Amino acid sequence: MFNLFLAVFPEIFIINATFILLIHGVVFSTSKKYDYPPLVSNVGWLGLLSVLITLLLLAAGAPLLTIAHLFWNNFFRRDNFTYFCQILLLLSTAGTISMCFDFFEQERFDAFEFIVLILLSTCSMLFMISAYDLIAMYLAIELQSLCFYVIAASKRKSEFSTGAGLKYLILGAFSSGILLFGCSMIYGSTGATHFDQLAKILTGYEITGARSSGIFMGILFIAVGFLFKITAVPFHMWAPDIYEGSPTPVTAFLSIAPKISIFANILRVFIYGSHVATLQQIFFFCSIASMILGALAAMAQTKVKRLLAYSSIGHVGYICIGFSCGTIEGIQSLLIGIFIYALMTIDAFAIVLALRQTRVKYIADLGALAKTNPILAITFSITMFSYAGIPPLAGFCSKFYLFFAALGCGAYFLASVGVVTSVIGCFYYIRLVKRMFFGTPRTWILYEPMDRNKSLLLAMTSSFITLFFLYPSPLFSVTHQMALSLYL
Amino acid sequence: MNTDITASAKPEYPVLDRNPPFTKVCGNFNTLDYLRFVTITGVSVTVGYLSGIKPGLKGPSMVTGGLIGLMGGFMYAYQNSAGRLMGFFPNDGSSDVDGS
Repeated sequence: MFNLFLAVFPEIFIINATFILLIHGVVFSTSKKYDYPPLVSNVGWLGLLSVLITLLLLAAGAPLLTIAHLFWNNFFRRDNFTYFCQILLLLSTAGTISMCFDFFEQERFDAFEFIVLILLSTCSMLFMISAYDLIAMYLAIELQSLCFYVIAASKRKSEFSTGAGLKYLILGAFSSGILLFGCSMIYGSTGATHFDQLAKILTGYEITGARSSGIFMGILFIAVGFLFKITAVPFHMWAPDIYEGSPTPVTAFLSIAPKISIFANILRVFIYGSHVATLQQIFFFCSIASMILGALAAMAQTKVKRLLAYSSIGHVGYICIGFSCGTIEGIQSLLIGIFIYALMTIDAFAIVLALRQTRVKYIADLGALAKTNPILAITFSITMFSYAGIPPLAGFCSKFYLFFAALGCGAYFLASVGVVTSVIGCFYYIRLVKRMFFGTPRTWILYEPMDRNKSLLLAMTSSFITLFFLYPSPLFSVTHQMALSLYL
Repeated sequence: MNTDITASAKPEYPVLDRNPPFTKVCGNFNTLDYLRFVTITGVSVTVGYLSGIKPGLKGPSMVTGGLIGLMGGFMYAYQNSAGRLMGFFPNDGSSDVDGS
């Protein structure tokens, strides 16, 4: 029986590492002998090490992780899809932590608990991705959310950060309540919480009568809860304020990691539960609304972080196209979209963090960046062009595949809205590029070289974005396999 | 509780023991497993030491890194050893199935 735990070695390791780091932080940050040292950087490096070892355990033990593919009374499922999403999540977490170190120094940020909470939320997201039961899924979502509420407010001396944390708490609790209500309605109507049982009950089930209206409302509430969490329109209102108010590394983490885990949950719940037809229309509408609002609202923004927040809402709309299709190609395009979006967002936020050194907060502050830091300006331009979907960058490949999947399933209106909003989106992305290369700075700008961690991260992500078109087939074949494993 | 080991993918290599006990798996560690264990622990101790220089916490940070590395290295070695016994990783193909 002990060998069943081989299936969750990565999770066991990261939990234990988190507790070791927590004890280390508590003991030594309050130690008079060591003169109350600031430990955030120290815990950060050890946290990064823990994430990399978790990644090693996951990647190297892949065949073994499926030995208990239905684990703990069938609460969790380990398969190829889980594997792909967890690898992507851990890479995103490692990228986010590695871009934080200079931020800690520049902003004199001294809360080691920040890293501990990131690791704890990563662990919860690992469980979320493999959850195969409504209860397991909800518990993992709550653990993740509670960590996020705290890290959003981690910069205690900033009222913006405190306000962001409070807003996130209230709205996150509200959306969790809606999600739980949906789960309870499903359980009340069917008596089941396990996805396999729900799939058997609901396949071919006609939505008529009181019991089925309970099921329908339950599915709707669960969908609304999920749409809140991924900041899809019309449940997006909290995102720009919270993304802007939170510390920048937190914003980067919030933009990437929960979207990976929530989309994985959405696919598990709704593909296995066989309620795709019911929800297709809801996601269809939310996708169109997110694309349109993401494109139009971002045009009016003057702050870089708010612009990236609306850009993220727009990208959620594009990624939802994949789910709206309801086909294997749609799911594959969703997974490709998530992967490329994660890398582009890591790239974008690493650049924003690098720009913070020169106190760039507004778009207008980007003036003449090309003269003071040309390499950074070129990297930012590549990222913006990729976000805009300009070929041959990775963002274009992701959008192309999403629109192609939409056309393949007959959703011509969805694809055409996507294309039009991409063109509109080009305006504000290229406006940033224009500002960097042709604008004049508002104040004096001092050139400060970027730290090594961020430069390495930027080199890797921008190389991927630029060169992806040369050899995209490994990602395409892996995501096709993952999409097939969902249906089989 | 589900105590069956039900792999979604069949083992590719000969199964030496379908559900090996803890002591057997630890006894099956080969040179490469010990090397991995030591390497991960060593790297973790180094990271702990280097990250502890700035806050003046070299020793304790080294110990914390060492703990994390010991745990991770042991789990990695255990995973590989168990995988070889269960037939998921290449083994020498011995016909010692379930001890017979």
